Amino acid sequence: MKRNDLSEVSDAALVMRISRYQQDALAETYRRHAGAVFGLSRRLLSDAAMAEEIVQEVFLRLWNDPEKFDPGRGSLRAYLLAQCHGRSVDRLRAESSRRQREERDLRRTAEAGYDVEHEVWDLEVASIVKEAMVKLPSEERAAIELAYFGGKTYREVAIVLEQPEGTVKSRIRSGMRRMRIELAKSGVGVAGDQS
Amino acid sequence: MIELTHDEIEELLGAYCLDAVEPDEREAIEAHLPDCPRCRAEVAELREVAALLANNTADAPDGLWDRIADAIDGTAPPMRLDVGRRRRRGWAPIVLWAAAVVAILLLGWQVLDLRRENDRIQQQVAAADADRAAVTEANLALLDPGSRVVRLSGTGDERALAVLTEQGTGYMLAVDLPALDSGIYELWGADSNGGLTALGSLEQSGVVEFDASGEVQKLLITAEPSFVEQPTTSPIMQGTVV
Repeated sequence: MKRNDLSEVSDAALVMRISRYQQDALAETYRRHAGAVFGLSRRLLSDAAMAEEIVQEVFLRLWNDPEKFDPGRGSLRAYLLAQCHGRSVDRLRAESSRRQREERDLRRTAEAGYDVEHEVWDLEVASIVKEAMVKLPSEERAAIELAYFGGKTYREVAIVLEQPEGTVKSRIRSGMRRMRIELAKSGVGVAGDQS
Repeated sequence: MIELTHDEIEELLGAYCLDAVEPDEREAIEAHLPDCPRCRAEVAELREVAALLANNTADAPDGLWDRIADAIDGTAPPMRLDVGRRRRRGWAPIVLWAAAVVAILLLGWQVLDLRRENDRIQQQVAAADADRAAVTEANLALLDPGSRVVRLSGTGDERALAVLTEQGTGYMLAVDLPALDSGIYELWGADSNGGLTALGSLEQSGVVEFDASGEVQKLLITAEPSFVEQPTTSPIMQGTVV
């Protein structure tokens, strides 16, 4: 994909264009966010082919039902990643009973995409997020990681960590809230419900 | 559905944003959210945090976009009479069209009268999106002296107009059906013996083409939980072919 005049358009405006069947707007959305969507799904599923299917589903859904995204309720990236996470976890839970998953090499694939400016920002954000994670109490961090990247329910996390379910539930929430505060301090914005 | 208090739901929001709750808990939370701005705001914030956790600078694999683009090319047939797709282009064109139809009704139901409105309708059609070919076809059918017209009405203010062509194609101009919590609107054709045939499902608004090649003396609309072979509820609108 080549850069085009949509590169400066906001995410919300891109979705408006998608609702008018403008394919180049979807292409620009893909350019901005597909890497993150793919990365999350592959991390959860340890399977690049299945992760590609998830990316395809997420972007086709945006194409078919753009009105499901409400810019007043958060960023497009958060919306797409939530879609991706939900679908990946559903797949994971269905798959895990059927076959033993094998860990695969999470090698990077290369395709021209994000511009350098975005990439630098992403790297900076990634390092801030990592720092904020490290600052969390270890029980909170473990619970969040097992739930988000392991695709486990808080009840399953409780079994793995040998802790009461109620404790795990609280730790996930308090850890996430703590992360939000830490990230805000570092200047990484976390949008809320504007409605 | 399980019953959870506000506090119990609030405690689950972190796990909910990580898709780490049980299905029955998810259901309870999602039923609660529309009525609770505080929980909604927290979900929005925590979802953003989750998105940041996923921050990743890797690119998607080669060729994946091409497959998505191919899939899209196969799903955007502008001529398709798919009301659901058309509806997201906004209500305004449909409302304009509905207004045009009502105006025509006021002028009388005779086909010759409809012809007078042709220019105005053509303007409405031209202003609408290119894929609203169904409207054009329905309009042409209305203007055809051989077509038959059905005016449907219900117990309330709902009204709708259908036109049946000599060739056996019907067009339902469903106007302002009330929103359904669940289920669909289904269209029925009644023959002279009162036998009913399912003709298709309807959205709240828009133009729907249906098969009217069989004997149709009357049209009826019912609300059904899903597409059924025979109606399970009484008609909310009906009208006789004239």
